[in-house]
Amino acid sequence: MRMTGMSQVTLEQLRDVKHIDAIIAASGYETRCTFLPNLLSDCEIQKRYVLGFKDRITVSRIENDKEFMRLGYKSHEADGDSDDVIQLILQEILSIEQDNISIIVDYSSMTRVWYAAIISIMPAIESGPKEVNIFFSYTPAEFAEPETPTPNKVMGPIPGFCRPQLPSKSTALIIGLGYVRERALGLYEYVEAAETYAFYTNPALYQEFTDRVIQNNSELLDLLSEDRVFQYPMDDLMAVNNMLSYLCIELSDNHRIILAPLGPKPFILISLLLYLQFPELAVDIWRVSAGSGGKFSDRKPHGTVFVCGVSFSRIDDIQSIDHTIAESDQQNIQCELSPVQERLAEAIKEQFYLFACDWCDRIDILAKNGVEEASLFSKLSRKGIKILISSREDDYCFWLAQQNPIPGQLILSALDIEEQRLYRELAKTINSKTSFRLLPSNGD
Amino acid sequence: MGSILSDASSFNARNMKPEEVAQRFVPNEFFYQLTGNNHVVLLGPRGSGKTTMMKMLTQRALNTWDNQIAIRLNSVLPFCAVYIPTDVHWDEQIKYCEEQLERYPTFRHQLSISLVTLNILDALVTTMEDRIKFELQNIWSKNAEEELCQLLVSYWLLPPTIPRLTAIRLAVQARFSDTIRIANRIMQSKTTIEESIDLPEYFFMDYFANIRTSCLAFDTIFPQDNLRKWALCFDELELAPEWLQQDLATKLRSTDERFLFKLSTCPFPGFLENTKASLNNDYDIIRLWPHKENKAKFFIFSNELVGALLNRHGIINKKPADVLGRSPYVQLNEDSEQIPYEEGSEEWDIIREAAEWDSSLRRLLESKGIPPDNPTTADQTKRDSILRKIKPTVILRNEFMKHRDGRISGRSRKRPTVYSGVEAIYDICDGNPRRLIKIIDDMITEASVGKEKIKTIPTRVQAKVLQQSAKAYVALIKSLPKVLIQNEMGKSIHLYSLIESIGKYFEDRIYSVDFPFDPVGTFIVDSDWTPQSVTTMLNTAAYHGAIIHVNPDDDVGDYELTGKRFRLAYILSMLWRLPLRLNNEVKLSNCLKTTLPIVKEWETPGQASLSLEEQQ
Repeated sequence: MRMTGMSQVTLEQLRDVKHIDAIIAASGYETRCTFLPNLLSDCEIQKRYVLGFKDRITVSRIENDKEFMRLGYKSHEADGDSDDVIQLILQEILSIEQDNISIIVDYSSMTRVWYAAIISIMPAIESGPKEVNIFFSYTPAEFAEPETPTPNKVMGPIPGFCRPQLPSKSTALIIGLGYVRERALGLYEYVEAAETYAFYTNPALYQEFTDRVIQNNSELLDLLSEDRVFQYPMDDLMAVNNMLSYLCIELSDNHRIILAPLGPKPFILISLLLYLQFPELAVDIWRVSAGSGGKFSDRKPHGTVFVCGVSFSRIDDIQSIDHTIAESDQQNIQCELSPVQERLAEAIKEQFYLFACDWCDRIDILAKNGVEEASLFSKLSRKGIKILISSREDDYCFWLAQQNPIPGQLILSALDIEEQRLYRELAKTINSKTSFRLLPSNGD
Repeated sequence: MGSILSDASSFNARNMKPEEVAQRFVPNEFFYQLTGNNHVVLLGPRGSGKTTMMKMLTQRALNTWDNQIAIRLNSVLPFCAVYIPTDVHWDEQIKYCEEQLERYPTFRHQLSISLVTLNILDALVTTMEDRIKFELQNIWSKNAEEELCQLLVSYWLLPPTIPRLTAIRLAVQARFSDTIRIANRIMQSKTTIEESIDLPEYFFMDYFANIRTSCLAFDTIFPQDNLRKWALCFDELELAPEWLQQDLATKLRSTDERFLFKLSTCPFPGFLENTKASLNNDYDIIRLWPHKENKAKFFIFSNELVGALLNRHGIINKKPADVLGRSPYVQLNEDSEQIPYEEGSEEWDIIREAAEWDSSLRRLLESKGIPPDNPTTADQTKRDSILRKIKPTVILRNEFMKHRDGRISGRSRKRPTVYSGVEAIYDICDGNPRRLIKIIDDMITEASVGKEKIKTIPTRVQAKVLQQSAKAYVALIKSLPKVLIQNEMGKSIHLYSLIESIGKYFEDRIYSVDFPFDPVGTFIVDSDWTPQSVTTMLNTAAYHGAIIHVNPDDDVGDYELTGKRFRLAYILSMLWRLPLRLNNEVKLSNCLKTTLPIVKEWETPGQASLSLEEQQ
């Protein structure tokens, strides 16, 4: 399944959703974990699941468990470090025989492993419903002072959110600042990135939170210039998504990216979703974890709820390759080759983009514009633009097709019968997620 | 934002292209050693200049370096360097793949080899392109490049590829993507049996065999009158997979004369412990930190580097000592006609003054037959063994102790000027060019505030910048990850706590009631006491330059910490008001008695369980 849409949803809109197939929540020692389930208690929700932490059974936890039971939730004990239970629950939900499934995930009291697992599983779903809508809901807590900082122990990619790349490009580090001291500075020092950017929430629900973030990250913020530090509004998830997306896309041409969201949770969620939104981006999502221990302090709900609705759709069956030449598809829009940026603007209008040149010139022109083919094709395909290639060079077409790393439409225009035969051969070796059709060319 | 503590990553050669490194490069004797016709292992902490020197060996850097030395080197360098990068990001990605594929040990290992091989081949193609562009443009032809590319496609089992090196490089990157795709598929599958995994042939390529055949092909197709060797420059090997470290250790005994190995790594590379390669016969060592044998070289290099910095800031024709002054503990009045330690000299004055309030110093001098009111002697041996010896301690106690009504106590100094002057600054930087560049740049910036031009940097400015630098360094050490040991009760000790314990141990002895005639300032890692967990932490400390091995033997290939003598980095010495000198040694166990009372219970914790923070 591919992620096809994302939007911020109000609580009222969530309550208005006609049919919710399932809700998954977590029961811990925080009072806020039952806040949303209570708000939705009168909604039509087919199945209600709650994951209970195996450890840290406190008085408030027992009360929360009782509350969930009263609300009709089916409890599953789970290890906060493991995604086994949540995977089973998700599989159970997705086995419902329906074309569309809607799920609410209240991740307010979940561990990162749990809600990250839900997101990372989705691309692997190849059967079952055609569309899945997941509403990720977060209940912020009342402000509490940060815990005494403990040194970082674990730093590295979250399972399911790593895209290895050759180290020929330098690293750009993007940190979503939390309010615990020295967490971000330790990461900065460990990675030694070529460029570092920081995000923090302002305005936040509580000014004290922003103040603590600034105070407890002052050494790092002192090291960064103003244009590397971004503030985002806590209550506008789409704004956060846009800012992060824009920055990552801009950086991706020249850098490998580490995105390390240290907090708050909605920022972490948006970061995880960004990974799915842009499968061609060389970005890893990292976690930074300190030691266990500390007080179990209750977190009461602030009273608001932030909901992010995400849609996933199954990719149509793209394994079949149409070798036949459809006469009705004989559309070629030829244009003079010109600087890439101007061409892009025309292509968006015309919905076609044509390369028609000798391969040597092609590479030279693209090289001058600083754009590598794969990156260019990715950008174009993301916009839904079909790509037409007409070339006398067989090797070039073979190679170009293999550079296309993401699902998209790659249309090859063959010049003669021999080339058509070669392209059929190409079909056997091409990236299986790329479909293409052979068209006759109108000539150069 | 952006303060005097500007982003230090701007000085990090890792993030700079070779041509950018070349624009600022100041060579030193160690660099020339690296250019030799031999295998070399370059050891040093972070910031010591290893990556800078390795990148400077490349064609791109040498062709950019605007210096007569570059022209000469280009013609006499016996090799062409293939720079093979690695970094923390790459290291974590490989570790991630290995962790996710724990259930498939054979495939996991093969994957690691495959990914590293592709990195090496990528570097090799880049080097070939550069050689054609910078060195062999006269004999290049389209046909020759096509012929080479066709061979590379064949050797590296690439799919049909446009016969251009640019396209070969892109094909290698595409191969990398394919490899990751295969790995992802297996990671996501919960039911794959390892025996059933069918891997493409390219998974089983041997990187060195590929390099050999490819370089032979290159040299054959592009024949040169003075055929050069190929130097494989593996940087930051402490971040490379263990199998590669071990493999390269064996390669140091390689008899293939066409290839040299230049390896850079941390101060104590465990992988060299068991190598059969012999130091000085098979390979040479270069240690990039100041110790007794090479301190003078570091001074010369630091002087040249600072000279270049001053020029860049418009302070022309001035020696560093003219701008920064001399350090008080080195030579107090060089221009004076007064002979040091003679009556009336500055040294005599300082010791006499201190003896007036420090009764323990008085007693010491008297016991040595030197009158406290006239602390001088005609006996040169006594002068050296007593007066010269106590001078640094006297200066420090004078600076940091106060006496009132017959009572002596500590005195804090916001900006101690005892740590200033060219010698102190170079010592504090401990041979770390990155730190030195930053400190000098910050000093000039601070001294220039409100002024168009400066001629000298006041002592108070130097003291301020050095203090800030020390503070920032401490913040970084405190925030270092993965340097924690824990006992069964859950009590954790961070590396910084160990360092602090050592610093305070030395401090207590310098500022004790009794004047310390034989103060301690170095420690030996006692082998019969130090647990492995602490040794591992100390290794990290050495890697980050927080502790310095004071007496390595460049003729001995001994890469273990235990039994070795260390001091704290001089930048940390300022925190505990310590002298910038070695002083006597003490066992590490003595320094850590209160921090680690029962050593056996302290171990490096396993995979961290989730913190509360993650569950919030």
